[in-house]
Amino acid sequence: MILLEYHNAVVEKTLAPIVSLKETVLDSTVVDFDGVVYHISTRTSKDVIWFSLSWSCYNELTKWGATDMLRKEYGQYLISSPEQGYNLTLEFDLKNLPSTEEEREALVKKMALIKRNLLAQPFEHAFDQQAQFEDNDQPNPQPDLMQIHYRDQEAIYIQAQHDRVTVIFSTLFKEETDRIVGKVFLQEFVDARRLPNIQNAPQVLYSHKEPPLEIRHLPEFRHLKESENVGFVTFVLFPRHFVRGDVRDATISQIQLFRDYLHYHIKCSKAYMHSRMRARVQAFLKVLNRAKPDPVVVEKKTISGRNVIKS
Amino acid sequence: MRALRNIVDIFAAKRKSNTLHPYLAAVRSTLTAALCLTNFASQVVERHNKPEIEARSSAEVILNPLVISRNENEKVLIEPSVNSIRFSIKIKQADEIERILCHKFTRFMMLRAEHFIILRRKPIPGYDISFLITNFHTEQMHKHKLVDFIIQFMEEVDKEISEMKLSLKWRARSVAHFYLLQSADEDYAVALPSEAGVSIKSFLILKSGPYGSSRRIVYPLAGSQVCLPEGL
Repeated sequence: MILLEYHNAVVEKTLAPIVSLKETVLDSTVVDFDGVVYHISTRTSKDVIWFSLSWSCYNELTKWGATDMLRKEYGQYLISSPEQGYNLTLEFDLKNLPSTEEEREALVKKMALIKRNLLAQPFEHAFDQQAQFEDNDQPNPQPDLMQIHYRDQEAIYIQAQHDRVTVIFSTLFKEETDRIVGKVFLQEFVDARRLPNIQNAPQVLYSHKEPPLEIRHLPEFRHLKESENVGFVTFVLFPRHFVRGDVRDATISQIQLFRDYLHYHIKCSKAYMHSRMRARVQAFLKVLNRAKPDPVVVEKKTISGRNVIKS
Repeated sequence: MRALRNIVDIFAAKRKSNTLHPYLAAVRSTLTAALCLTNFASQVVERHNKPEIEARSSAEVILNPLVISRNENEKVLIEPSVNSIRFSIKIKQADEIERILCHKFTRFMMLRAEHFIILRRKPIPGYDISFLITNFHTEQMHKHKLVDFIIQFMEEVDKEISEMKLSLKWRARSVAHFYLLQSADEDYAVALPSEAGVSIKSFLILKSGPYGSSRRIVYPLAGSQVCLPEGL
């Protein structure tokens, strides 16, 4: 499987009682990419399911319209005071759910996409601001530089410009090996656009340790240490990449998963190399063992001429 | 017989690159000559029998070390003594990726040093991997096959590292390609190579939508306008 899925399969599976309307006792903690933690539990009775989410950048996301999105998409289930230790909580009363099974399936699917939908808001905001630049009737807006610190020490920066939207990822490589393998991967992302069939794809730029111009003034990069293995990946999105509808949704989903996709494949290549080395070392051992002479087998006989039988 | 052997050698030399063969031949003959080991107990401590090249308890049993080098990045160091030799290899590392792959591979082997009886757990400074062969090893094992092992190791380690590098690059390319292909938002057509430009009979449409890519062959209607993207 080369591409990652956008929704969380475990959430979908755990929330199966919503589809089947079967009463169960639930208490599970599910994790997702980027440090997202879900807590799915039945608190008071078997037919009321609580779904809570915690994410370090939740407060940053609410600045860019996450609350409106939640109210619009999940409004009727949202409860005003979230569970302790979590950022938001939704409550599903099995007696009070859509009547058809298709609708309930769609609801569960929507729950599995909640992280994607939350992180999509800053992107939507940037795309809207870019649309204002295009529109001659409206005054040009002052584009916001949106910073979303979605993991510790890693962040996404999104800014609209008059003809494009730039998305910058800062990514941290914890190990030297990861850094080198990551560099090979990122270089290929930069070079891939030369192929004729993907010239329409967004432009990818990569810089190592040097923050791009758009975010260079931020205080967090003023003291960037030489030793830190930080890389910056910039995606340049043109209006054709965020045409309203399927294209926009797909672009947002993919770009969000970029960091996970990259690191997932770095891990995969390391695992592949490891299994390869294991096989090669086995082969070398065989060659070395050939150097040992075969043990000499001598048939032992008793004095009367019978064979010695070992029991 | 000797003439036949020479012909075989010449053919073998032609198969390999022209500097690798003499290099390996030199290593092979030097190593065979150096592997002339005898049981020799310590002169300093009673009832000790240690590899002299490591213990260095007396200077007169250590012989002159020898470096055979193919170029500045690839060389071997052979340090003989009366009852043991130490053989260190510096493996070619042209760039960062090869450096890391080589480091990982040799480390992986040295962690399993107890299975590779002759492998040293740590390399000599300046080299990537070291072997320590004592008189006990040559007594237990065939000497010529030990030499064969080392030569084969030297041949294959380069090959392995360059293959791993290639597979890493290939993977990186297809990963990048797949990711960006899903965001190329238009269909693009590749004309199948039959009289392109005159009358195009069929197209291979690579549909790249938001949910992956698929291929299908379509036949355009007669008289329809066909535009091909640039570069095709």
